[in-house]
Amino acid sequence: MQAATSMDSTVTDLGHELRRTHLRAMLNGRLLEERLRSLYRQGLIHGGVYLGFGQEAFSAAGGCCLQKGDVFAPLIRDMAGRLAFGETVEEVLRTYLGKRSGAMRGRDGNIHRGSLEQGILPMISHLGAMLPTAAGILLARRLRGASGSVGLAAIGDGAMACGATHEALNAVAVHRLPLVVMVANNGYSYSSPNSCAFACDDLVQRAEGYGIPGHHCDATDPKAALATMAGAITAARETGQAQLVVGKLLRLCGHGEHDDGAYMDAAQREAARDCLSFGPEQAVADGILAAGEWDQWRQVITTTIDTALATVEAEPDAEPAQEDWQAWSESWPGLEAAP
Amino acid sequence: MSATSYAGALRLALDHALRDDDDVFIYGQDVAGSFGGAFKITKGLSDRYGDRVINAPISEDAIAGMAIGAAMEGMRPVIEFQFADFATIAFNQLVNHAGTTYWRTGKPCPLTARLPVGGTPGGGPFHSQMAEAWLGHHPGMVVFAPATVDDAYCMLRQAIASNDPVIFCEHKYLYEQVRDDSFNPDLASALPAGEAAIRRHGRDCTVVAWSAMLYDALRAADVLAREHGIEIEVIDLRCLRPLPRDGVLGSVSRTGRLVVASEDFPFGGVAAELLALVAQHGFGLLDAPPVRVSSLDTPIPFHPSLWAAHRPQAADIVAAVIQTVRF
Amino acid sequence: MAREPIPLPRFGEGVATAELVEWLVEEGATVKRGDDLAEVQTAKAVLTVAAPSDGVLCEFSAAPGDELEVGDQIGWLEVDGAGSATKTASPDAPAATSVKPITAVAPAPTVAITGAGYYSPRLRARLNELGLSAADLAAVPGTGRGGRVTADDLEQFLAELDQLDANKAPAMRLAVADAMRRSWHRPLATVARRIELGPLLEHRRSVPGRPSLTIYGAKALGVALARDPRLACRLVGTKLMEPKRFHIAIAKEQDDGIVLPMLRDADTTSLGELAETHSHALDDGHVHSGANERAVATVTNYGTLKITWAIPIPPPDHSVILGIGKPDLVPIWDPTAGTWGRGKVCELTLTFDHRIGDGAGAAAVLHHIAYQLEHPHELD
Repeated sequence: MQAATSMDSTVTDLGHELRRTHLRAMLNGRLLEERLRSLYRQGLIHGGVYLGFGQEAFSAAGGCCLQKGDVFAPLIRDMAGRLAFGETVEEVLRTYLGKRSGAMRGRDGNIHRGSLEQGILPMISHLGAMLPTAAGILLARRLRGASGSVGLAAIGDGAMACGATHEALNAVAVHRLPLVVMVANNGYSYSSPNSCAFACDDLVQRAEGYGIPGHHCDATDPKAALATMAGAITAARETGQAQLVVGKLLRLCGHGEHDDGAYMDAAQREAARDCLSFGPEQAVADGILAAGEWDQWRQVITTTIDTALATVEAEPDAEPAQEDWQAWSESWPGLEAAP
Repeated sequence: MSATSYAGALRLALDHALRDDDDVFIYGQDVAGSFGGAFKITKGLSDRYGDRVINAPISEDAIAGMAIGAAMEGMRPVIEFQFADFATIAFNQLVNHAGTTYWRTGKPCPLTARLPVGGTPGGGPFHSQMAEAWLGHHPGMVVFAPATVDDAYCMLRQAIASNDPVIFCEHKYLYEQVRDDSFNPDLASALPAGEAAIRRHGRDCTVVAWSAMLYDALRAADVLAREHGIEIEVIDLRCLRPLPRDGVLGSVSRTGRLVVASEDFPFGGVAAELLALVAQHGFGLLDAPPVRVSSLDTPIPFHPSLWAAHRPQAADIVAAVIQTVRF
Repeated sequence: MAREPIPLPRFGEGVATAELVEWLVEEGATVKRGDDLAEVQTAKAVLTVAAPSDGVLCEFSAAPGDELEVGDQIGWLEVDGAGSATKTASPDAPAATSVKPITAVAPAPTVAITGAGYYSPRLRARLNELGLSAADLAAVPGTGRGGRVTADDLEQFLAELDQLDANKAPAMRLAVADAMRRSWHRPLATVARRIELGPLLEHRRSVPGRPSLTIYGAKALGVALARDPRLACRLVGTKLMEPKRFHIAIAKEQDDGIVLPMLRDADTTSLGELAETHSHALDDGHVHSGANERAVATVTNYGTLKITWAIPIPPPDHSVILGIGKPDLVPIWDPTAGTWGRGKVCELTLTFDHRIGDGAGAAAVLHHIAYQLEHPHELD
């Protein structure tokens, strides 16, 4: 099997609309996460808040290039990609605010939200475990004769060290399943720098070992990130072959909002490019975005978030009396009575 | 030799499940081709069902994870672990993912995981273990442990038809040792999953067993009746999760005594769960303290004579029953 | 030379049978240990049976096509020496008799439960369901271990009871039955002696209200226990409760049971006052004390029933009861005059909780009571 590793994806023919959609999804993700951070600091959110600051270009690129019917297994910093793939602001807020109306009904929180109908897998915390799960959906579709859809599983440099990730990358290569594994190398596995996480020069080198194409990009460059993801997802769709994409970026926040990231390299952080600053400049320069349009978007999105928040806050919270406390889907005979 | 073996019944159940439902597929190491699995349970199936019998790399985590994905997509995957002991690698996928899916999402996760369990001479520490306690501990899991040819067929069909993740414990010793002349898949009937079966009636003491230990219990019943005039009621648990509470409490209400015979390790197992059930909900049914007979509390030894001392035998059940009846 | 069987070996888990495909050597061939002898087809694969010893393959006992089980003999080897018919490990399931290592089965300490006094949880649950107590099983001969009553015994007993006519017992009767049943849980012992009543009968004429023998007994009991309160204590678990005041109860039989009016501070109250209190208490129908007012002992005068001697049972919350028998006119030796005279005597019994005190202590209390009753001016 050929393992083409293109270190510099240059897809010149990115559509005008795709680039605008991508930029807007980046901004959507950033503004909604800024609001979540504010709500967290108001004490209104149950559980943790993990932000994707700095990862929006890469994440939104994945979400924008998927089609309806594809499968997306996001990681915790994929707000932009989720919104790009079709998740609504209301749905996000319902889970973060612990509403019974949310997809997880208060049973699981925040970053674990997902909807099988929408093709967004509700992750378990062991992120590597989501790769074979996305692959299983693709296998099922192939067995049923349904072709054309792809899977996109997002992990970081941390989950690249998990056993499940290795097993899944090998299995999708062996079974020729069109799973795109996008690795956001954001510099840190929680607090541990890359030097603690892997010893190869670049994680994309792994692709050759698995016998699948590998792609690499500077994920702080929205155009490059979009081009690379578009290329990988198109390749998966057309060849049916798994793809490994590694985006290099820097996490512009702590691991979660409970973490100030003080262990991060200060000079590296200082020098880092924020895709949300560079993106509109690049787009204006490319004639994709009109001057002042970015600020108009910002206002529209902020209003959308305000409205959604007002709606969701009025919805009922999860409460014990509304639960059936039943983990089985079947009514088994001899079912254990509640204690 | 025309009698159907336990292994043959399992093969037939898979065959019929694949025949009757295009959503059923088999995924596991060495299951496809002419080889047909380490215990030949899938032998011949890939000839008939082609791409629905799929060989996997040695990747238990990925095997379980892919089955979960396929189940979420609405298929009914049947995965085979070569030995139950190796399913430890897939523990995370099974209990954290398959077991939580319905509760978290409201969408079922209808997968069947076949686990060859239990000891055989020479099996040793990593090819002999029981799996019911550590997998059954977690909410959302269903655990079957058939002991008869009828149950091997019917319960595997039930497992595949179920919308919950089923851990299907097949005892390696039973594969070829248990045979049934009268087995007929068209007539085979099983109690609903979740109900225990009475394999022998008796009024003096209830002995609960499952999987291969059922046969030790039945041998003990013969000895007790012949040599001690004690008639035990032998309950085949069949399904360990959900636990057939009513069947066990009902039998204890008739006999006033309980001995649980388990091939598993003693600590924190299904036997302990049964004793807790009866102590908490059936205390007023008891004439004597309930007793459990389990393996010794060490890893499972390789040498057949060490293993025979490690695993409970009919004689241990006899001794426990006599102790209980004479209490 | 000896003959050694060639068994079908156990090839692994889940292999119980095999079909002989072909012999790889001729009958009569000389073989070395480990040489391939035959091919067999198992459910898993075609496998080879090897010679277990050096020797001559003198006889085939299976032919191609034969279905064999693990352990079946497929042929015979003629070997030098005694052979090794038992060399092959038994391919069967674990032997029925197993020997467990001693270190692993050190016996846990257990409470030995023996005898007819044990009621299993099942029996207790059934008794509770029926509103019965262990005392109700007195008539049931247990067929269980050590004469224990089993659940079956109880059911049979109940079936027999159903054949008999029965009435509902009165509430007072049931209350006394309950008190006596609880009392009987304790080990009770009795001491007894006779006293002369002459001085007491003389003395009572001088006391206002002419106190009865029962009142004298209550006073003497109160004084004796106040001097030595050990028998007036109660034992609950490891706690010994010693009384501060010495109220005495008097057992009074009524038509349907027993009531226990109480005399406060019998040790310090005068006989006359005690007599008056007692008659009021009976008139009022006042039966017993308040929560903080409890008697420490009981007096029962079964002499009024024309009984000379009995062993009464202390109420469940008392550790001691004094019984007074019917006075009798008897010949009495006067050691001073050296002549027989006649006089009235009665028997006293003191029944006590043997957990609280022993025979000597009880005897001392009873002698002290007797001394007071025979020297009644001591009670003034």
